[in-house]
Amino acid sequence: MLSPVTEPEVQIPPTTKVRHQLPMFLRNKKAFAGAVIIGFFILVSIFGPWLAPYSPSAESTAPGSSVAAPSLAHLLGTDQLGRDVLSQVLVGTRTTMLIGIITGIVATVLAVLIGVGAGYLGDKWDELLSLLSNVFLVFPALPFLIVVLGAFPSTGDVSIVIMLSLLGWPWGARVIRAQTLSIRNKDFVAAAQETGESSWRIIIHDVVPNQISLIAATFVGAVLYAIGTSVGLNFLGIGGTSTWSLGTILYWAENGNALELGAWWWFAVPGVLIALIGMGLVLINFGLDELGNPRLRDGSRVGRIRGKLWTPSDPTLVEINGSAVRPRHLFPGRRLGGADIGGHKNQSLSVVSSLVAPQSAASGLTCSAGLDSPLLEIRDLSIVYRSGSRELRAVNNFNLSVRRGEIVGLAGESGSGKSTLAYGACRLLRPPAVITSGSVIYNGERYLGGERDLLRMDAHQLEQLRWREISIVFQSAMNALNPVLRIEDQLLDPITRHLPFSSDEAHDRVYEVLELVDIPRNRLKSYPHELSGGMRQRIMIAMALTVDPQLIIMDEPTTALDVVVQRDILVQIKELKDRLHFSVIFITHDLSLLVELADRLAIMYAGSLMEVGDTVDLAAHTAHPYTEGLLHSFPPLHGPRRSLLGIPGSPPDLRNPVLGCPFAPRCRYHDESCGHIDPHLLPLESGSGRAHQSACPFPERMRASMAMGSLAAAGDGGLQDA
Amino acid sequence: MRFLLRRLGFYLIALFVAVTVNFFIPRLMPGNVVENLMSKYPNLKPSAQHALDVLLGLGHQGSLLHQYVLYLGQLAHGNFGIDPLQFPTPVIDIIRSALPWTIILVGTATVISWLLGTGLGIVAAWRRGGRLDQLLPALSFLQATPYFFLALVLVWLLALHFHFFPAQQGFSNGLTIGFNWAFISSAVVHSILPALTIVLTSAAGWMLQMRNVMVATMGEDYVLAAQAKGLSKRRVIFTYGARNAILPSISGFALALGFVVSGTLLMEIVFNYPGIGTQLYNAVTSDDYPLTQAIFLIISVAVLLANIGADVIYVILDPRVRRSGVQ
Amino acid sequence: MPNAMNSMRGSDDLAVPALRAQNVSKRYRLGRRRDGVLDAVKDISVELYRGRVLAVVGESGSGKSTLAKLLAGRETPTAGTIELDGSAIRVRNQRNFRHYKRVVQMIFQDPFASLNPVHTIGYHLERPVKIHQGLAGEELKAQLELLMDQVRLTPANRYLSKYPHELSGGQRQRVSIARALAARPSVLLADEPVSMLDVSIRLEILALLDDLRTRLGLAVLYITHDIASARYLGDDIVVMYAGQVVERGTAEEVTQRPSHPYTQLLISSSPDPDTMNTTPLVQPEPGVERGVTNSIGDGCPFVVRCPFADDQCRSAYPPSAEVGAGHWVSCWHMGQACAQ
Repeated sequence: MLSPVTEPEVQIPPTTKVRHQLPMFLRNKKAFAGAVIIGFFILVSIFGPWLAPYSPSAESTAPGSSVAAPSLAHLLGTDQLGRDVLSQVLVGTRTTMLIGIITGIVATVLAVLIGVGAGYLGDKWDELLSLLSNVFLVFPALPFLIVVLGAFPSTGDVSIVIMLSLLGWPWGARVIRAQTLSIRNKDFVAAAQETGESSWRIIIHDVVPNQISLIAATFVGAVLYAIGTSVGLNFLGIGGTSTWSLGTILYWAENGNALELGAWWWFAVPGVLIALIGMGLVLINFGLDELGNPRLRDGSRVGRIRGKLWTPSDPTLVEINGSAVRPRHLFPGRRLGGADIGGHKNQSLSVVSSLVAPQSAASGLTCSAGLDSPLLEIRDLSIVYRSGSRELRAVNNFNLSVRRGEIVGLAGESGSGKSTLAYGACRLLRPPAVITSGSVIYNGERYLGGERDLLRMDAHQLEQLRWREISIVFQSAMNALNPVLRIEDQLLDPITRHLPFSSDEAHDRVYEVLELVDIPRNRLKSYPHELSGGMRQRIMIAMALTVDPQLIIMDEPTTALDVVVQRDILVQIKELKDRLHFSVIFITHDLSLLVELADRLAIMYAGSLMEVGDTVDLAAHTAHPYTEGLLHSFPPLHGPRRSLLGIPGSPPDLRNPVLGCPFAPRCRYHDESCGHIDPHLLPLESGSGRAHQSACPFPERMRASMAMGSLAAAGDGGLQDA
Repeated sequence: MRFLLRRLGFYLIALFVAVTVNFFIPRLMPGNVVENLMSKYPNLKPSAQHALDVLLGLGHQGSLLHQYVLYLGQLAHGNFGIDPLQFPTPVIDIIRSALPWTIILVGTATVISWLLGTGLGIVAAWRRGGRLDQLLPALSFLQATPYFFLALVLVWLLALHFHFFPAQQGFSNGLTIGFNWAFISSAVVHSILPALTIVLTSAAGWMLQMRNVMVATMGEDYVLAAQAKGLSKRRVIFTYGARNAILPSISGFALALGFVVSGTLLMEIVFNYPGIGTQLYNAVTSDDYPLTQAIFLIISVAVLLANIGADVIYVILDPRVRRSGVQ
Repeated sequence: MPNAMNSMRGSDDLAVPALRAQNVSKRYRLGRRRDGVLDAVKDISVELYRGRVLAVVGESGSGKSTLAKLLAGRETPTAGTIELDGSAIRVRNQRNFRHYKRVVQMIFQDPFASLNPVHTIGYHLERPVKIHQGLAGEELKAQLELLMDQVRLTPANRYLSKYPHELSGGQRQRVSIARALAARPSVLLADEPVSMLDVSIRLEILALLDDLRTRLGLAVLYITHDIASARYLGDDIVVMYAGQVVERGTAEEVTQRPSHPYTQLLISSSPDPDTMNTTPLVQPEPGVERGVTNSIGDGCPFVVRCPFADDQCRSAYPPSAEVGAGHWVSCWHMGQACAQ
């Protein structure tokens, strides 16, 4: 499953069209090399026999013609009967390729029929066909063939093809069945059934076309298997030595003592050709793998960055001012040392006690540092997704500060770049994302005692800071929890990493955070899949609290949950924040939640900040049409039933540069001037006096419209018609 | 548990199929197999004929079903008959002497190649685009090389040309099999080339598979979460990455095992190694049906046992299968 | 059932429900054990009338999607009947099903999954038009344009040759709706049609559904977990909990005078931007126990979370009682709950 974290919300649309897959496939270097190799062998097997200078079985008794080294007359030398090895190879390649391809076709057809049949028909058919393929899978094929062909020696290559086809389908059938099962459960199959399509048509037109690359891989795998096995049988001389194949040449070489005679040309050439064919097929399958799995593909763009190899340990590429940022120590000589770790211990313990007495150490510390200096300050941050020469500008010159102990709500539609921003600021984005400008200043006083730029830290410093200072509640708890580790181990992990606790202390800490989120201790031994969705989300929150961080980034932590559970968790988050005094960046598309939860709101659209300010100001004195649109996207539960507009249209395509205000095309108040303005935040005079800023230079247009009471009644035209 | 029981069911059925195939093959062969044997190997005593009749079938035992029951009875007692070629050695004794060679050689080499391949796969996935990763095409060439061909090349190069290792047999002539230094050292020296063949070709396959799965696993959210926790590189790679990526490798064991067994059979023949593969080849080429039959059965059972082992390991490693019974 | 099929396009009598579920239940077997059953839907009756929207509200696992599948003929009820224009229907085979689809169409939750990535928008719309209307050539083309116009994807030619991934979520959901309309149904079952969409475009889709039921006189079933949107679009609301209906009535009655503790919990849990930080974020009263259990036997399944639960609640399911005009509630403690 692709998740929003690994697949950025600003997505380059996947090319799923079948007819686009071939060019894409050939652009893959490995696949291309494989295709060239196999193409060559196909040509050889078509024209080879005509090009053969001699008959492969033509013996020569002339003196010196037995086991002769390569010469002009015999480019690949001769065997002990004076037969021309080149001719044998040219003829033999055709036989070997034919066996491979025919078996491949038959086995693939069987695999598709059985795999799709089992997967689509389900129930009894599935049981039966799965049984069949599982039995065939463990059946030792080659020994079986040796026995059978040894017992019936006269049948030759045809029986090899038949037997191999019968034994070669289960691998393919297994994977095709699995994929069919997942496709069958997709809504588009149900939707096709709704239109009244027949099952056969659905299988042929809806299910199979979605499996083309898998079927191709099955075919390639079957060819590989058939060539490997048939060559082995030919080499043993089982199933006849009368026809020339690459394996048969090796049979004669082995029995003609080619090794002892040192006649390398006799055995090495056919052997290398077999390996080359195999290699071509393996490379093609590699390409197919990458085609079907974007994760394998994306990385191929990464490789070496300015001489340094990219590894997942420091995933995000930072290229500010066109050059890779060299991590440097802002405070040389002050690296993380024993003293700091010791300090950590004291604080953590004091926090443990603060759970009992809320007004203790942690809050005291915050006071000493001054309430107004921001804990985290994102300055001028820009992030792009690179795809070849194209760039998708996901975050543009973004500024946001988070103060101590406040909840900042980050809201916007999908594709607005809000998750990209949050993960980018923590340097957790993977390529093709690249940070192209800005700095992220973290100012946790217990961390090295001063301001540090996250984007310019080295990997080691970053590791020390992560979770200890900034933790994350991921959107999908199911994906963010390791499925094969017990909850307990996953909760203990950050504690043993960041706090100098004994095992008992660490466990106490785990019990403590579990209590905070109301989860009974006996759940610790569970695995993630054994818990309900709400419980998993609570575990994620508990995990974010384990080492008492200063800032928690919450990425849609409640979106997948029912309203009642959602309310429950939100209340819990707010309570915990009041007790433990951490700050929160809460990311969601649901502004109605934030209005109740957040102290401050930041509204994001098309990678840019549209409006930011205290929640009360923002709600009461909305200064950006986009914010207004979002706020009026929620039907009310009380008061008069009125018709609402939402925000018609869709966000701009970020692959093309947006001129002027990005929201203008969907704005009810826009005019020509909006296409020329440079949208940056402008301060506003409002309410509490704290910085309320909006990127719309014409907030008076909205106010006028509201004053006329035309908000609800306004049609699509809006003000510019008036 | 349900998962294991279900798999066990598959294996029992597979075993049944193997046994039945074994039963039918000699009976479907043209002519009277046992009489052919008797005439081909005149030193066979009539006393051996009964067992051969039961195993290979001659129609003297009444209905096919009756024959089948008798045949199963013979197998249950481990009675595979007397070998006509090495009369009067029982077939079971021949297998007993050949099997350890194969199991020790193939077992050790397979484990080594799996560990090596999986380890290299992890490194290649972590350091994508690095030196190891750039060797992929070369490794795919190795993976695609048939075992027996690599064996031929190694024999030619390292045994016949450079005389580093012996080219044939499992130990030097004149030594007695036993727990003595001369024999053991000789056996080890003789096993190096065959083992190298297995390791070189199959490690490449394991590595390519592990590399791809590992790359995909590194893209999972839980790996990202582990990194966000600031965990050490080691913990991220092994506990979060490899720990999950290894599962397909184990469940794919059944698929790979077929290739390994097939490959090693051929490899043994090249080295004239005293294992089960060479015996099978000799038996097939000299129409030694009882031995052929028995070896095929033994191979089937061995493959099934290896699969059961892989399943048990899988169940231990994947809690999802352990509790829910689905894969 | 030939008679029933003939009557499928039957009467336009507004008093007769276009589609009706009469005491339907659906029981699923879980695993192989004998006691492993799940009553996804338990003895539910709902009526869909032409030109009206019935909203079904419930949390995940409440059985609301199963109800939609029963009405859509995708599942057969273990008890009870589905009536189309007053006559009982049993969808048995493919031909039957195809006939039924001419009248009752369903649209799905996820517009990213409900369109096949390998086919164009045109293909998705052509198929039902060909199957149900048998049109071809120019007529077919005209019909496609009409459909695109109905869901306001114009000009049609700009979209017909595109692939699903080239459209936004809202546009895809419009295509899904157009595809359902291609069969010219009289009943539209919408299973969470907007929950996967951005909040900003949900209202547009709801407005489209609202518009279609007026213009085409469709009977619409709107399934949702969001009671605010149920009030917004629905004429009537049915609240489901653990497979049963706990409250039903007109949208205003149910949302303004919620009488079942669960409905009250739902409403107090729903974020309401109109309250704008004026009320502090507090835990709603009920909801003592977290997580839902279904194994309550004959009693009211809500007891585990209900503040008023007593022995009576645990032993018997409360009968449905009318508390206002057409406003029915199933609760033993309605008096107490209302007083809250």
